[in-house]
Amino acid sequence: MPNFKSTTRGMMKKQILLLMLLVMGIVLAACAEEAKDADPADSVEKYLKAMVEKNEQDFNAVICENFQETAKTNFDSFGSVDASLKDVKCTASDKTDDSATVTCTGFISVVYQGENTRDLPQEGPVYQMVNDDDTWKICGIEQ
Amino acid sequence: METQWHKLVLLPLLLMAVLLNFSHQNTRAQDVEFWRTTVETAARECPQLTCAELWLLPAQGPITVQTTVEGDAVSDITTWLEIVHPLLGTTGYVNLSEAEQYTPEDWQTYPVLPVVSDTAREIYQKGLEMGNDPTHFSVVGDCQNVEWFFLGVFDRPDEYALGQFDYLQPTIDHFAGSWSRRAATVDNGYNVASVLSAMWADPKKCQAGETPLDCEFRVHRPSIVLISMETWWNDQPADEYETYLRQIVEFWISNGAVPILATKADNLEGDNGINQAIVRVANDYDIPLWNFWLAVQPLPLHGLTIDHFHLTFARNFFDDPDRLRNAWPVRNLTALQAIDVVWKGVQVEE
Repeated sequence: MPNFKSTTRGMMKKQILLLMLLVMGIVLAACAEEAKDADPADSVEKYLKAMVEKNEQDFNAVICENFQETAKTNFDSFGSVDASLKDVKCTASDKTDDSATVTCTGFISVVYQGENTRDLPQEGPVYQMVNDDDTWKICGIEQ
Repeated sequence: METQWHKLVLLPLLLMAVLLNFSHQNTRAQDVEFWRTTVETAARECPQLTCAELWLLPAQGPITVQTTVEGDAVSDITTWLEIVHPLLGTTGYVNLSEAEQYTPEDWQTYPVLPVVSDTAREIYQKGLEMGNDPTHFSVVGDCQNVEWFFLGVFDRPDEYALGQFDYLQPTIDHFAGSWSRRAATVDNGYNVASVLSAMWADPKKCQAGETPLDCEFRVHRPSIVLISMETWWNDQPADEYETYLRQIVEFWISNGAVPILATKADNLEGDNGINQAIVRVANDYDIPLWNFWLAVQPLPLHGLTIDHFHLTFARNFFDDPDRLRNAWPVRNLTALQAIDVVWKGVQVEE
């Protein structure tokens, strides 16, 4: 005599498990799609903002390991000044799932001992971006 | 028996080697007594209280003692120290009750003016072969190196007087144009990292991708480079400053320009860590050191204004001893002397 009660309960468990897997799959796919849609230019703007605000944690979050030395020199170069972004706007191009390039416009405004000493133009550098675990990171700068 | 023999021969040899090495490493400090004032006082014309005051001395200011003489009693002490003015070379007297012997840190014992090594001569010769200009020098520095205050006057004859230092005029003439020129490696707010970063290169002077160092070398091709960086992060250790300073020094050495490293007058970091690093780098690369810190120690307030960073100001008339009680003319005079010593020292006689 088959135990219908336990068979039904087992089927329900399987259905719930399948449903959960389906939901998780949808969520993960959505996340992946979101990363693919993320704008590499946002990472460069974050890099510049973290640099002038001397926020080492945010700064390190958007740079590749092989770019760390140059990036640290850039970061440390702002140690003696106050600085802010002035009309900085970055734009991505040549974007694939894995790589992109980014260029910017605008200035970094540098203030030393209360006086605006220089505006560092941001046109020129071409940021080489790599999608690293769904985060766009700067892996090099070409001029 | 054999062991005893070895001991008898080897021990004196070992001792001799240690002594030779010691004397080599300590040519600056050996047999030198270091004296400093204990209170703010004045050097007098003779060892009597009625004698005229020649120049003022700050408390804790190093003094160069020649000999002792007897004179008027101060606090029951009749011994006076005969001292020498650090720049003018004139003689004065301070009562022993106002001075003490002390042991300075090693980096503090280096003389104000550089000693030129064979290494420096080799760098200079290599640079000339590479096409560097023997009549050009450059400066790498921050706000205390901007030409309006630092060295620029030597291209403006109405704005300086050499007085007894007129032997420096040929050096001024030789490097004409470099004194008042704004180098690509000098600006307000620069630090040791800025000159290594392409972000800071002035696009009006420099090509895309050049650092200020690359740019300055290409544009000016100096044979001598004065490196004087005072400012650094408040909360970052001096060893990071040192890492960048080494990169700057290596850049210039590889390009055949003789670096002169300058110590700084301030101690904003609290432990003199940056000056120690500067002297260490100068020693490691065997390159000239201009110990500007020592040059301002005998000045009132050690040459610093109330913020303990900026230098006390006077114009550059070195024939006026009163002006030489301020740090800016002392900075300009001793920098000029340092460049003079290095330029003359690197010449190889044919």
